[in-house]
Amino acid sequence: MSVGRWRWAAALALGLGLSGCISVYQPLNGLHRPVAIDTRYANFEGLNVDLRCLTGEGFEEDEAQTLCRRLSRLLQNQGATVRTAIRGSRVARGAAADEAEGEAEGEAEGDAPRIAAGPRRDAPLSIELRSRILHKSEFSLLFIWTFVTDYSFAQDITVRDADGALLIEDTLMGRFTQRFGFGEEASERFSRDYYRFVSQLTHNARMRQRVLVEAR
Amino acid sequence: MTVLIFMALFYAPSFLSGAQDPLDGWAAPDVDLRRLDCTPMDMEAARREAPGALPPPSFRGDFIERRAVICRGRLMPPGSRRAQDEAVLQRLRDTAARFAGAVKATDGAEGRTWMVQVMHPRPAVGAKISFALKNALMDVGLPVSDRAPALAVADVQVLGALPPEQGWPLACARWAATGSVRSGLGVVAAALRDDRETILHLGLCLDGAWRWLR
Repeated sequence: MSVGRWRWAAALALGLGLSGCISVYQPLNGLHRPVAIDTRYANFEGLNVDLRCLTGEGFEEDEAQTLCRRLSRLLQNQGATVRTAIRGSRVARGAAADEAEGEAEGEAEGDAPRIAAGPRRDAPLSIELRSRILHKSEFSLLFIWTFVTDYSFAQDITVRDADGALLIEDTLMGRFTQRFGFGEEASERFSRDYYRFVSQLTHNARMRQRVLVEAR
Repeated sequence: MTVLIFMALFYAPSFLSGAQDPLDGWAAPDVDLRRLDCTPMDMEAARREAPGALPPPSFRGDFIERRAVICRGRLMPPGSRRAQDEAVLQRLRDTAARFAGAVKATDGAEGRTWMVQVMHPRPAVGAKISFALKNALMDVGLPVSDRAPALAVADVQVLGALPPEQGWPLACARWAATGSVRSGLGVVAAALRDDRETILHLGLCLDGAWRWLR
């Protein structure tokens, strides 16, 4: 083999080595809405949150657990006391149990300072998250290897007060494409959008709760 | 040569399938995805949502499952307004419509003429909110006045020093006491209560009594 061919082969090998399965993220609805809250501060000091992550088609129990755990850390980092529940089960897992897990969830925590949860001053907010796949398509080669996976998802978020009154409801939508190629990893961009969105929604719900308390 | 064929087989599906994809397609139109609000839906719903934008269904059937994504561009580029203002204004039409519906459903709403009062730290945004709310009230058939409820300077000084939960009920009482809001009139108030929130709150002043609705 001549030197020129060796160069070509080396370039191809380098290209193959540097490429891989990448995810590309597109916020469709809600996720890229502007937010006024800064998640690095203690926005939820004294707030009690019951967080319920529902499983569903395309969203298994382990994924719901991961979601709940990360969101729990996110809200705790901003000063809230959080209890989590998966599926329709009774809210039972305390903040202490979450804390005992101890593992840092990088995406959820970001650079936020760790802040101790405050005392239970407010009536708890109940946040329920229901995730669903809207569409999924796969492109396979010779029906064997899946090269492109494209899916869009939605998450319905409802926040209620202790009496069950609806404070906020919203739906976010996003899309991921996984394929071979080059590019940045999408998870960080998605996490940044998602955690800011949920924090903003929680703050809005808390403000509405206060206003409704004044109305009674 | 074998390597090249293998590479072509390996990458061609990704390369071709995503060519026109606005997300990362190499032949896609140049759009800023963060300026678009999109909703994925099936073709039938998309034809209803955007008539004429999609070809009609084939009479001989279509054996490929297709989908559509309807996107609406945002008016202002990201970062051109404060995030809080942008978030409020993006959903202003929906918010105003919901508020108008809530006002109409309130006991004693019918037969009154409504004045609109907006509490927002930036007057330009407040004016947009006021305009939208007046339009929404008229859309549901409620008479609206262009007049704003007035207070004496001394009242404004006192109210300015009070927190919102005390300020609004007192303002409402003063409006009634000074005759600014007479019988047969009502005040619809839209207020921002916190620098970090992106929703508006709705309050009503009826016959000197204040209440928050949302």
